[in-house]
Amino acid sequence: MISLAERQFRFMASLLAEDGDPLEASSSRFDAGLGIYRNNYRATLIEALSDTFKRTARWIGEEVFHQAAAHHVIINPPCGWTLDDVGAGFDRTLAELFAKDPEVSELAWIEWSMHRAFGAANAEPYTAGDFADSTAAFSDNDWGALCLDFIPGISTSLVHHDVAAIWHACDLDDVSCPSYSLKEPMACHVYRDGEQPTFITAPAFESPALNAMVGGAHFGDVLDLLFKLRPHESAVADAGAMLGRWLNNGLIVAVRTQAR
Amino acid sequence: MHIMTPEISPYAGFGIGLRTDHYGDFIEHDVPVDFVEVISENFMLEGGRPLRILEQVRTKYDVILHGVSMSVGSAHGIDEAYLARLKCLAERIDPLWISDHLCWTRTSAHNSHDLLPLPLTHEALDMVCRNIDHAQNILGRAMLFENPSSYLTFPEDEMTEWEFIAAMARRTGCFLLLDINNIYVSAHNHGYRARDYLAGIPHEQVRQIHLAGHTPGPIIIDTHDREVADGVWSLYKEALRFLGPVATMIERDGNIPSLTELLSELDIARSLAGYEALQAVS
Repeated sequence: MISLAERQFRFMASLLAEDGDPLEASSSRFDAGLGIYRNNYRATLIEALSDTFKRTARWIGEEVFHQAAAHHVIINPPCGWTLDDVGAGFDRTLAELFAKDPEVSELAWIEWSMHRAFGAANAEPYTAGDFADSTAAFSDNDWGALCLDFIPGISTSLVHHDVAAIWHACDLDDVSCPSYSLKEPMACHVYRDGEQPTFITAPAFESPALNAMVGGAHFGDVLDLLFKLRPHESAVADAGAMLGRWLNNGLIVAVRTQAR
Repeated sequence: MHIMTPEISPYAGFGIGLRTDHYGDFIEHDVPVDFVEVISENFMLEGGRPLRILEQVRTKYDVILHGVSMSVGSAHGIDEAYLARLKCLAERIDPLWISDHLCWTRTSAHNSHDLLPLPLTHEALDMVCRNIDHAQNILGRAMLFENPSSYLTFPEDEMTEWEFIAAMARRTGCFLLLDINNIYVSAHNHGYRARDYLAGIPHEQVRQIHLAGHTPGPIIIDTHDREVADGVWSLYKEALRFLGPVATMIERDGNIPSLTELLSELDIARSLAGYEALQAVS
């Protein structure tokens, strides 16, 4: 008799297998039951993906989405206890499947990031007044040593399409529209505004800047970055405008200084 | 090893599974239920709307945390991070009790996100008891475990499911969540008498009953997407004769109807329970 661990390993392998070979020495009755579990497994995961990526499904069509989702769960069988994680990497799967339609993976990335933000920890955004109070006595050195804490669950990426227009088209079920390529890439920040996940677009330089500061970089480091990315004469003004946008959109929850 | 955990007192209320479609009803109105049951994993989050809603609901109703991912039947043990999250949620919500399923969902490498059947062997029983002891120890409380519906049996089975469950409850001190629909489904699928199942479980350990719908066929599928079938109502009546008053709820996970419709089904359970109670007295 095989061990319980071996039994479960074989059973799981049979669920995950694309072709659904019956287990060794099984009866037709056993195989019929196993077929139900295989179907449940696949259907549960595809339904979870459909729930998370509603607009992506609308954009590419339900049938095509279903095929892409089935492909994703075959090559990325879930590991963790939460069904919420099933969508991890789906944007990358779509990037490979829709190499000629790169807006698909951008849309999926936004939906996935919004899904992650949905259950992130609560935090009260800093207001412009809070920020002014905290930084009123800042020296130049303090500005360089400034670190920011961001709203939990925030993420950012560069996008090459007008994702806001695509999002709106999906809401209207008007998916026959063009893919709205941008002449220049933009930053897209995804975060939760109160209880509602949302996204904004911003100048491209904000994406590496935000990623750096979320990772713990000082504002001085980000200024150095902007001097490389932006015209020298506008870098400081760009940095100030960027901070203003982050504050006004509720992305910042705390400020502190930390030695560089 | 039997780890001592707090008792769960008998509780004879009536409730329904709380689903997103009905959040507004429960928050804005006084819904005539004694408790609601929620899927634990939907609220094992760090923050956001679901937790806020659950905390609001908790101010008005008793709440049961019902999980689907503990995997007490797993030969690879229980995910410690999962247990920590569940404990955190329980401390936040103060539920009537915490329940999960007699099944496995994961190996060391993968998670099926489905309630998979266990071979009914002494090895599996030992593993289940070890995992339940561990979970109850970490959570600091006794749990309820639900009998699964299943679509296959294993050639190496050494006992019936009710013998397995009786031994599990005796060895771990856990309580039972008896899903009447699951008994109906499995009895049909595996060709045993549902009454033997009802007679064979330790009645004193049952603290809750689930009632749900299924999809008929040569193999009945436990779909929870329609009203409770007549055969399941009959089995419920029979169960009440064994069990006496016990917390009962309607569980619906697909084709979610209006709350009014669910409450009508719950009223059927109430009247059947009331009738059986009267019969017991007279």
